[in-house]
Amino acid sequence: MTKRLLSSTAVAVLAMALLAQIAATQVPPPLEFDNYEQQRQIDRIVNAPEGCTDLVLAGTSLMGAAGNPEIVASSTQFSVRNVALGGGGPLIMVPWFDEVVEPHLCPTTVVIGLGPRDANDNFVDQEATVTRYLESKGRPHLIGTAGAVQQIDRWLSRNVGFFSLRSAYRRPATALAFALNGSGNWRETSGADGRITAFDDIVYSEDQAREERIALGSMRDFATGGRNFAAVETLISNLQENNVEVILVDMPRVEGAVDRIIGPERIDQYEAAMADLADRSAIPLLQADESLTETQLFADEWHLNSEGSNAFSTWLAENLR
Amino acid sequence: MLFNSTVFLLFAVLVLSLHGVLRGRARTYVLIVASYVFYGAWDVRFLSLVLLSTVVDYNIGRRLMVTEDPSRRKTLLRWSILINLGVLGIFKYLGFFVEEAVPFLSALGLSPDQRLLAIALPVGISFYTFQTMSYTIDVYHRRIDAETDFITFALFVAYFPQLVAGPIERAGSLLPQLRNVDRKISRADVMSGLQLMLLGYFKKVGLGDVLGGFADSVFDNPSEASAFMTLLGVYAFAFQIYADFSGYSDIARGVSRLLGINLMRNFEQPYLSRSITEFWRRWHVSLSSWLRDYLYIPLGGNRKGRGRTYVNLMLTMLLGGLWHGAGWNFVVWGALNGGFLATERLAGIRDSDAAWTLRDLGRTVFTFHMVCLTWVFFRAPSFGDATSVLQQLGSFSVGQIDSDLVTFVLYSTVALILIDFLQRRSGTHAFTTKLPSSFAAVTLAVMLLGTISATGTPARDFIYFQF
Repeated sequence: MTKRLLSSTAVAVLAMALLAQIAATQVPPPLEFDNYEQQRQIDRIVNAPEGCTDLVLAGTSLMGAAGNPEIVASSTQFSVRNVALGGGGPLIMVPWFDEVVEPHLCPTTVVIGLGPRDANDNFVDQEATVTRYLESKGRPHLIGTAGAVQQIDRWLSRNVGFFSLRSAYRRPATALAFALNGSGNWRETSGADGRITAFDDIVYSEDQAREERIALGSMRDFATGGRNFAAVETLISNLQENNVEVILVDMPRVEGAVDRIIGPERIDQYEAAMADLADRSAIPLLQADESLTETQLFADEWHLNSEGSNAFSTWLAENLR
Repeated sequence: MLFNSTVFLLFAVLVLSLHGVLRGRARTYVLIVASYVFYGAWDVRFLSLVLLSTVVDYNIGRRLMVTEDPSRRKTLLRWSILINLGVLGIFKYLGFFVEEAVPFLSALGLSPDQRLLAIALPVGISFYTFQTMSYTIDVYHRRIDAETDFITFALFVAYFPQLVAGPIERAGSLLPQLRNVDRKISRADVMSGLQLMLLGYFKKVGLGDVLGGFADSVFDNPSEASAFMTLLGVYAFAFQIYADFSGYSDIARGVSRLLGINLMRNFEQPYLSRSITEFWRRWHVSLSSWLRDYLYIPLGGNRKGRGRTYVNLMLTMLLGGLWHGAGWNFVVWGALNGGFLATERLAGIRDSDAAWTLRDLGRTVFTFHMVCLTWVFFRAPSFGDATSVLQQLGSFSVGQIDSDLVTFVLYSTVALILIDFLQRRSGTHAFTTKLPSSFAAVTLAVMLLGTISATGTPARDFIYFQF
């Protein structure tokens, strides 16, 4: 009985292993970082061709959607990459540059784009994002501290079906949607140059309910000038120590909507904090001009669509020249 | 050292190997050293508390055996209870009571020492304290003889498979087995032990930990989810705590079976219960039977009239709630359970051993939802958060749906209920031993693959470790 059970179990395990191996080809490999966009951005940067990049566009999804490296490169003759991190915030930019951008791209100029959306010191999710990055499974491999067990674990994840299906097991509906038609949270939402393309085809329309959700969500208890700006100042200082030139950009936004969400007084506080930071760090601060406030350039209150991205990148290249 | 860690698996292989090659007294020594290493791996300082319980109850037990004077025997028993509950009180409840007294102390111009608020909770203290107390009480009532061998008694207190989260074993069952560690381990022991371990890992890693992530997302931000998602979050927690705790018990029983020692069943398909009374006969059996035998019955049980019975039920469940931790949410959880039990008794609903049939479905679903209501208070970080969860449930909103949460809760429900049915039908927790070999093979393969596929994120603590 025991022998028969063991041999039957071995056959069942082998059969399922084969099925798992086939299923694993239909979904992305297990998540090693906070989300698939972060993982892809890291993969692209780490696997970028050898050699330094002249200019990198940094920030959150605001710069991620806005900065088109191709347009900026064609006008400035620099090599350009968009290294912005969607879903991040200023707090994560310090380890992001220390561990990902500087070691692999060694930029000579960094353009940091920020908006009021990035500056709310009371938005707790930003801290959680940093913690998730620091505790992510992929980080020891990224910074070269992975031990033997972690190496074996990664090998299993990438080569053995059961282990390759780890993320799919935890997110069964997402995995199924992705396997069937490539949709859902795991789809590619950025291009090979690092620019976020998810907002490209959307055109802004005023939505009071969405504004209320934002006001009660990420912009709740808006306060600025504290830890977020301190993180950006640390980043600038680190870059300057490495002789990297830094330029700060106040990113375009739909003024009326942002006024309603945060309030004009707080926007003034944010703008004053940006100016102070640029002064203290002795770096230029570029402010988007009126041509970048047309609502048809936006996908929502903060993110530019493809038309907006083209306009912003052309404007940025002119100012950089 | 978590059961769901690579270190534990290596530790278990080492202990099982040494246990397998050694004979006689050497096996006892291996087990006691392994148990102290296992416990010391969390915080070696707290081994002193395990040793204190061991020395106190060993000596009091032996004195109880040779003392005939009833008043002196009673004094000895009181000392044992005082010391055990004293240690438990200092490490588990003092911080809570001091914190609650802060407003009163402040009004008097006093402020408590911060060190009192920051006393660390030794892992498993509630489990081994209750286990040793029951030993002394049983010796006092002459239900068992006192253990004369100190090492065997030390192993009874610290036996690693059940030290930190039970089952809370009775001396009458565990001590005789520990005296006889030299017994031959049969092939059936090995097969059922391994299958229990696999079942436990599948429940804990393959179901509980994943459900935990979903439950956290709802309970950590109770005001942000819709009523529908909150309800699913509550279901996720209900199945998480079951998978987590019963998974731990299965692993404990499986490892112990490989060492030739049978631990008691701690769960008997609780979510198939048709009443809260039946639920408490099936959920965390080692604690509920402990509370029945050492608290409810000594309080008078149902022998002193109806009114007193209800009071006894409430008291027992309130103390059962406090056993889990010092917090108002546990008090409310205990009070709700006590209230439900008293209401059922008042309504004439009695526990039943009758086989479960499809006609019981309505009562089972109703009971499950009553249990879920109590879990809201158990899981929510504070009483205020629990009320927020209930308010969200009352909003009847649908909102955005997390299809992964829906799918995984559905999958876990089917898996756990199927396991429960198969266990009940086969009469054994290692139910695969009773299935046709082809069906058993597929079941084992699914559990193995489910466990492997759910690995890869940092191991989560077992929920009951905090108690």
